Amino acid sequence: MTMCDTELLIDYLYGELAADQRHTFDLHLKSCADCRREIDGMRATRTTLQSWAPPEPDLSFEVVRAQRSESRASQRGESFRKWWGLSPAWGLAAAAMLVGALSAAIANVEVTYGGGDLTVRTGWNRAPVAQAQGAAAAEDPAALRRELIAVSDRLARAERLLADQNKTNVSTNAVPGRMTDAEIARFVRHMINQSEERQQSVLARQILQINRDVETARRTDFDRLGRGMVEIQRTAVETFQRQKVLEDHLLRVGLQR
Amino acid sequence: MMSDEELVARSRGGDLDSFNQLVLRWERPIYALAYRVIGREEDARDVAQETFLRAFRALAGFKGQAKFSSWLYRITLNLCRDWIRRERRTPIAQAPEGVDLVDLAGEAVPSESIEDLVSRKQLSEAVAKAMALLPEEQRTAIILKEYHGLTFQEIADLLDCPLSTVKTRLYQGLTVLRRHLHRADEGLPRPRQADSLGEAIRSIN
Repeated sequence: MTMCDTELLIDYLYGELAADQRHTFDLHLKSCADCRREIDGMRATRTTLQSWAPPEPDLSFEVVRAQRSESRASQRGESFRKWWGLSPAWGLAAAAMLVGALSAAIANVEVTYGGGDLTVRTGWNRAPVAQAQGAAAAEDPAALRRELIAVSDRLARAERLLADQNKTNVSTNAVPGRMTDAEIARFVRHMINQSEERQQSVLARQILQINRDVETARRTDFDRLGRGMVEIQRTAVETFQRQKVLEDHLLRVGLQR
Repeated sequence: MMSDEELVARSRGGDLDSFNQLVLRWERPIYALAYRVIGREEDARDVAQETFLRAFRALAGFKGQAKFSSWLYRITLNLCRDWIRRERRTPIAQAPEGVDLVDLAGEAVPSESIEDLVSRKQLSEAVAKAMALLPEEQRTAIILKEYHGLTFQEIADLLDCPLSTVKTRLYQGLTVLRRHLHRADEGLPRPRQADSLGEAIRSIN
């Protein structure tokens, strides 16, 4: 069997030869310049290959059951309905849900893959965020702003109602007295609902604040850009005038001569 | 620390926490494999996520006939193959536009000079580009061998081909890479060249 064999060479290169075969091939290498060159070249290539580093994104994958979160979401929806069924403040529920959906789109904290009963949660994912914002910007920005203003108004109105509601609740909530188990359970559920709604409204306000900040920053940039353009125009006009004066002067000097 | 096999056994009983420990253990190698095969960060991320979802769903059918990691690799490679077929293109070596020195400084080993860093980054890009030129089966064999340390037999099992085919693919792939990378290496800027360029610019000015 010839020793100048590619399979043997690859086995030797990756150290997958048995000790005696390795020894035989070592001896062969001493006498065969071609194989020596081949081995040296491939070793160098292997070393170079090690410099290829993949990017290191924030992965933090976590497989969760989508069913659980779905049922939780539907429970929350139901508790919203029950709670708001008693209250006239439909606005807050609608606004909170709308803004909640908006925030989910922006934060993109949970991505569903493959549909069905399982979901993979990931860490903070910058690229899709950019996409989500890009998509929002691609839509009519004026419409989006109108929608946000409307949401903001409804929120303010609903918050006032909620504040009133809380005042009356405090008086009843504060004195549980002797309650049956069912009453305690109802009471606790009621408290949880309230806390959830408070969180929703805080989140909504934060999202609105972020939007406002972005809008302000954009306006400032536009203003600065506008001022810059005016400045450039002014300089251009001045330069033009100065050139004109110079030209006139040269023309006059030329005519005099 | 629990072995993969123990965690798999627990996960098969529906224990998501155990499965997520496996995810934590394998998400980086799986992402790296997908990234090197298809060459796109976001798509590699999707492939990695889908790999774990499919693995969890198919866990009942995994009887421990192979290592858990090999089984994951197989799912990943199948998804990569689907991606390549769908996109009907060879992988793109994602070379970032220009070299961000600030970025580079962050990953600097203290003793490395900026020139070293730039050339290391360039070398990494050169490898990515050269790998993208290889046919899919040669590229996959090299990736599994060089970056995941699989044995020839494991690669053969994973790619459903004879042992000798794996070795031939490695040999052919390395031969092509050697040619390309040798050329790329010659093209890298060297400090002396940079100096002479600087002098040339000064003499023009």
